[in-house]
Amino acid sequence: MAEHATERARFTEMRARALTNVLLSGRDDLLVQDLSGADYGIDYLVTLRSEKPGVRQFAVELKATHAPVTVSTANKVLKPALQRMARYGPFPYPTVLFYFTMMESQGWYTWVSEPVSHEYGTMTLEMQEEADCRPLNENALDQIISCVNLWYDFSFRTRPGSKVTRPARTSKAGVKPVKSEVVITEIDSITFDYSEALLQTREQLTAAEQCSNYILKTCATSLRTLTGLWDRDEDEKGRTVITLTITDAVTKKSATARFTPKDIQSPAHVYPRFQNLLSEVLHPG
Amino acid sequence: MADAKDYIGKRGEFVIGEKLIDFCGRPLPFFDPHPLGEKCGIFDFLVELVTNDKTPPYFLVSAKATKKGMTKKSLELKVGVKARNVQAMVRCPVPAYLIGVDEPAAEAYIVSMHGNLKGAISSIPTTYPLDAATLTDLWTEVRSYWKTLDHKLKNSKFQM
Repeated sequence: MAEHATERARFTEMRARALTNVLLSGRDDLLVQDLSGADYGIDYLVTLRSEKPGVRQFAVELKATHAPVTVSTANKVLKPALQRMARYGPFPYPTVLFYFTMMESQGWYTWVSEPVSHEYGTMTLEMQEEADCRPLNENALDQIISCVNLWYDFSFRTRPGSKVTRPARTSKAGVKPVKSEVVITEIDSITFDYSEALLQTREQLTAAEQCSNYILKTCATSLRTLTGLWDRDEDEKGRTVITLTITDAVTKKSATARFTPKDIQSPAHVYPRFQNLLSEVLHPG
Repeated sequence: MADAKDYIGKRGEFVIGEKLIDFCGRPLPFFDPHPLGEKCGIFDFLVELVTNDKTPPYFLVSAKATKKGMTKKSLELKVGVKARNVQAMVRCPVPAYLIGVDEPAAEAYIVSMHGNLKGAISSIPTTYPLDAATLTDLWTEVRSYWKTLDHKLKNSKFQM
């Protein structure tokens, strides 16, 4: 009996792999690496072969069971697996879980690390602890890949009118890092840049980028002569302070607002302060 | 750098592996396929039958995947096998089958390689898709072959 169960488990895993291989090899734009032998918490690393810029990857974790399941059962069954994966995470790439059943050859998928779009035009990669299973087929794979591409479009800033932010050069040891050069582009709005100090803090950089995107989407005024620089510093008590300095390239006038790291978590909170800065720069006195 | 032919061949093997491990609503699948790798010239899989037998019966599979689709008149799958490979498969004392894979559709069709086949093959009939009915018949056929075969070596120079 135990031997039978072991055999069943072996074949279940084999078939789950076979189904995954058939599904992924159905598209000729995917390069699939089997990582099941390594203890990375994922089974496959998939690279998209695309003309779009950057290395675009997503991960796949496999689960399978013999008996058929309903969506709600699948969601319940996979919850512990997602929680376990959350302990491996966060993952640097979008990650999905494929769930196969053997008796009826069903396939489901649920996001583990999901690219999530926000109202203010930004995206974040969020670890999921609750399963939200959907049928897995060629169309679902297309949707997964579209979602992955959207994430990298956002992440690499390849949207029209945007620029790729590269880490600024640092000066010699012991000297304060050189700030990124501020560049005015042809787009009809303000251009934001980020200091070296901010580029080194992922969470605050992401929050500042979200604020920038919110401002770009919300502010209808033509601001092509303006540049914004996000910086990170400490106040006299050693607390982190995030600053946003708006400069008019024509008049050379500038104004700075100071925020706490918590403030910039809320772009809607930052926006009124940005408008105050605009007034200071564009309508001084 | 893998070319398109390698890609189609690899995908063909994936499709065959997946079809052969189909549980078909049973507690265990009918077959346990073992890929033989690129270095094995004619055959691509050694496939064991899942049974309670002490020594599992097995058969050999040559896999051919194609993007060319079907012939217009007879609706046969366009897969090609050279005459010398056909003859080698027919001479094989172990049950040997050719499985053709329609790569875009991820469908597979099986034919046996036995009897008086000699010449090259340019297409195979699609009468036997690798579905539950075919898998059941295939399992029965191969098992019967091994049951009736007196395959034990009568004598050997290398006796213990």
